Amino acid sequence: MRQEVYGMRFEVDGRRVVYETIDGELILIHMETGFYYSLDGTGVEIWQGLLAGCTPEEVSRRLRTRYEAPVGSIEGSVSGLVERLREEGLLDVARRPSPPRPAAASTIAGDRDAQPEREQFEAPVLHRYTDMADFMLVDPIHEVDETGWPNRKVAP
Amino acid sequence: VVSAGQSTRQVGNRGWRPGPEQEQLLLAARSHPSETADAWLRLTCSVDIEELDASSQDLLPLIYRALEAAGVKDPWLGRLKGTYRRTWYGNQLLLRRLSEALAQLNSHGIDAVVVGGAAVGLLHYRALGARPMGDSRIAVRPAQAGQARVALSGVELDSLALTSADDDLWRARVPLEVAGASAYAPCSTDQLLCACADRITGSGPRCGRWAMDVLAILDSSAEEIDWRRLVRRGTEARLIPGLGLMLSYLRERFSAPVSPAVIDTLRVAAPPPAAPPAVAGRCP
Repeated sequence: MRQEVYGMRFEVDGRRVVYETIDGELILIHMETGFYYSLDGTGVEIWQGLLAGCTPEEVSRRLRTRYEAPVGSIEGSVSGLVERLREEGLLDVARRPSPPRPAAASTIAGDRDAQPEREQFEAPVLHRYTDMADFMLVDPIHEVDETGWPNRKVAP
Repeated sequence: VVSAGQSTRQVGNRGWRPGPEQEQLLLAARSHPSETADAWLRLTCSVDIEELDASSQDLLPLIYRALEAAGVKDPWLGRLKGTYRRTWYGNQLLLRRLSEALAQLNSHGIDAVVVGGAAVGLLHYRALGARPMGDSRIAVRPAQAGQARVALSGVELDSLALTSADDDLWRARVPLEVAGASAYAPCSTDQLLCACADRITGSGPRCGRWAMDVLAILDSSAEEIDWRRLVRRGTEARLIPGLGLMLSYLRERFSAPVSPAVIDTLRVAAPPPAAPPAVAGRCP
């Protein structure tokens, strides 16, 4: 993991970023640009861990208890996503770093015991949609693929 | 006693009654989780989702929420989820514009009541993408309407309309926070009345949505409804017998918790001779 984010804690500026988790998918909007983002799978877990007050290192440690992955790949994925989220203005370094809340800490400890069977780790992907004026014109029933708006149907 | 069927003839050309497709959508959206899978099957046996009109499509985010909550797996789920995402995105942008307008009004010492989609959506629906909020309006006191127009002259309102609210609605307002800005919303009773009034007068949300709004208000706040106030204001605004017929329809078709006594009172009440006061009419 890159040293610059290793022990940092992060926060979201609610004036700039709104988000919601629906059915295991995190959807976000950068309110200044209007850009729309989507994150799922392990990306949602990483996001939730960071917002619970955990450092990327702590989030990686948690993921290692849950997933099988080559050495260093979880750490690389977590730090890569953190940097990507920061570049997009979706995540800020916490202004007043604080230790993780007790609930987050106990979750990390508890999961180690509760997850004997580990799944294969899949690196998170942040999907980014920028031409939103155009996307809002897309018919959400007829012009989208099976995953739904804003993913357009690919022309045959 | 007038049945819901007769109501269509009495105020039929005002078109408040949801059509068969919208009724099926509403039934699926409101089904108990243990019955959602069957309700969805019935819906897709009788309704072609690909052929729904725009007003019916507005109900699809709610269908998605119901299917998702019930754990129903269906090839349609992704596209239904997309309608929720799209509504959520549009609503978030609208709420931000609304918030900026409210902050501007606040800075000029003008209080505002948010009427329509944003108020109903924030207070009575459980999810921000469940209901499109494009019918939101900002109501101010009639005496401050001119001042409000000046205050908002530099604000991008887009579809947001500026209206005035009558004193009665104003007195019963409740606090509402919109993306960090302080404002007010009509009390639950007045929101219910506004949902029906907008439909009766043909100026409000399209058919089907009024029913979903009233049901959402009753689901979240039935115990807060002041039925005497509803009867009085509905009568004063000459919303009878339509209001009684609409509530009767919801009671019969969706088991809405509306007392038969209230419905009967609304059916037999005589309208006042004077011109009806607007519930939250447009500024002159």
